[in-house]
Amino acid sequence: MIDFRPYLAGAGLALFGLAWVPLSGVLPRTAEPPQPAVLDAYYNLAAQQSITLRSLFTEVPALDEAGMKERAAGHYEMVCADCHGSPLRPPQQFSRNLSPTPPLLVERMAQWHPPARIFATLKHGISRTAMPGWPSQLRDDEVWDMVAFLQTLPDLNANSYASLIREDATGSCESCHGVEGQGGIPGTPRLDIQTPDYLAAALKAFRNGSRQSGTMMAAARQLSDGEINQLAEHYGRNVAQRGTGTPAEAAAIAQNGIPERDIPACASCHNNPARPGYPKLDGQDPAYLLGQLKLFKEHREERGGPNAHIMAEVVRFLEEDEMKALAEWYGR
Amino acid sequence: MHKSCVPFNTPAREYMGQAGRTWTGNACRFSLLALTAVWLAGCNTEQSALHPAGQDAAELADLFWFMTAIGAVVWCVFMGAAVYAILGKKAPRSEKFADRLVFFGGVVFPTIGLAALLVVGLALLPSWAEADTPDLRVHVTAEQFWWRIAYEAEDGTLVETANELHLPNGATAEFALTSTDVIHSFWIPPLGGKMDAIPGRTNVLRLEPTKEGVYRGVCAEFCGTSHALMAFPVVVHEAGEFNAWLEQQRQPARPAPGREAFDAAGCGACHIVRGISEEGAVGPDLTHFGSRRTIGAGTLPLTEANLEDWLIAPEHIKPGVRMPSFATLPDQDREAIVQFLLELK
Repeated sequence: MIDFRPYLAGAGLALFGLAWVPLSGVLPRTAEPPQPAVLDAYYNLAAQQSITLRSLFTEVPALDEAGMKERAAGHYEMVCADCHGSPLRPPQQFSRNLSPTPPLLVERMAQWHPPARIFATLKHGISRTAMPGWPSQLRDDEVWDMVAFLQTLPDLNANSYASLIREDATGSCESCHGVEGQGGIPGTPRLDIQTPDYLAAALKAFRNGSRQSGTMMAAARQLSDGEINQLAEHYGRNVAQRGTGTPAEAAAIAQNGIPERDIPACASCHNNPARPGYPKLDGQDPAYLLGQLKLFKEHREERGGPNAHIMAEVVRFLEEDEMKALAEWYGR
Repeated sequence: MHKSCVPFNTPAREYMGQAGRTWTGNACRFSLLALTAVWLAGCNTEQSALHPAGQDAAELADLFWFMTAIGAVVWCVFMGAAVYAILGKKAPRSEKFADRLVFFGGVVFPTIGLAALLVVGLALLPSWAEADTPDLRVHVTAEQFWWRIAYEAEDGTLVETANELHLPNGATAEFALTSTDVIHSFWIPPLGGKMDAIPGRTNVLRLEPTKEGVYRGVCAEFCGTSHALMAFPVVVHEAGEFNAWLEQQRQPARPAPGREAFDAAGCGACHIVRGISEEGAVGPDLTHFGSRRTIGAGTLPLTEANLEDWLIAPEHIKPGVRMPSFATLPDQDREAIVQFLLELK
């Protein structure tokens, strides 16, 4: 029998030594006065290296697709600009009192690269700073939108930035979803074709965090029940729309499904006027539809929303080219 | 030291005394035996290969009893020989006796015994050459975790149903078995042997029920999480009764109240109810669902409460089922769907 007592005593002493430093309160963890520059540099180096390590095997998608930077611009203005500033206005004063101080991205973005590192920073955030990770860890597509936007940020002046975030729009819904909720930015859904029931359920799912979207979670968390119902009534106009109806192969899937591959018809649920809780697809933005189909297939019910578990079964055997065809067929 | 940790060199007597030849140990053993007997007696005859209700099953049961009897005789002879060798006369036998014993006991007896078993076994093999047309053809497609069943009517049309098999008594039924996903196996123990259902291939099995009654068929090849819940009731009718049943199954469903709720929830995307909703051939056909005995391929008896539970949480009742939960439906819609389905007689 080995005598463990000396080891236990040693471990106890070591723990006491470790605990003493924070317990005594002598360790400086205050933001005012800010931490010394040498500590800043030390933590910064660690953050840089940790970001680099996490970005090593990241596959970078195309960053010049239509709508990417427009989709992110509104989120930047709503969430990021307070701390990082924008071509239109400097950051809020409170952010200058943070320690470490958030960088002014209009000036600093030009020096930051490559895209994979920017992606890792946005997705995971940086500990011991005020930089949070992306609100939804399932929506890499949104993070890449933001990377695409940030890469163009140094080239934007006040005017081009203002037009990108649609500064003239009243209210934050309109800047992305269009003045009448008719959409406009590729990949952003139009709202006017939906019923108020559907829109209210979607906003509530974003607000409680069950439906995944960093942008919409940030937007919906500011809303009360009353505001949600008001917005749903305002935008959910149930406008009848016809899709373009091409390509033809999609029509067969939409109307009859592919029963031998266990793919039911889209129209069984989505054209049904008696079921106001299911979204309308006719006339919806094709890029948005394709994005949602991919989310259902990749994340199944974790994509969130009251009926995601049903769609998860529906898209299970749908191939990507079929998803594209369906998105185009339903799209305007 | 724990009682069960006995060193390998402990003398047997000591070991037995230590591990269990105690009053409680004996009582435990005895009650376990008694329980097993009760449990075996409780075996359900509806899924028993030893209570044959079909031609093949009867032959298989005969073969089983024949082999068991032969096995019992062989066992008794050998045990007798062993006991005799231990307790019998201590004086050595002559070399001639030993030679004869080895020759007759080790060569002649096994040759004759095994040949007899082979003859009986071969005689039971189905006669493939004899290709008379069966009285009924049934197409069975196994899917995770249910059975798509289609009867070939006399005019060649198919009458589709699911998860419940009906057969006429005394008629040969030919099953064309296939699968859409993984290998399953179609087995109705009281009616006959099992046959695999293999994707991309059609296997043919013939069965001839000889006794009316309700039996239970099962999937006999592990096929996924709910393999054990992939069963189906088998109802063997008198021939006339069967024809009436088939004729009734051939009819489209009568419109029933609650149809709007069924449509609105999108049930028709996956389920066909002939005459009402005909586009979704993904899941089981529900045309005459209300006339069936079970929900979820033999998983639960068909009752109003069970059906409602099934709509709310199918995954909890049958893990891995493709049917999504409809817990998010308003209660009155779900109740309307339940009533509608029960009305589909």
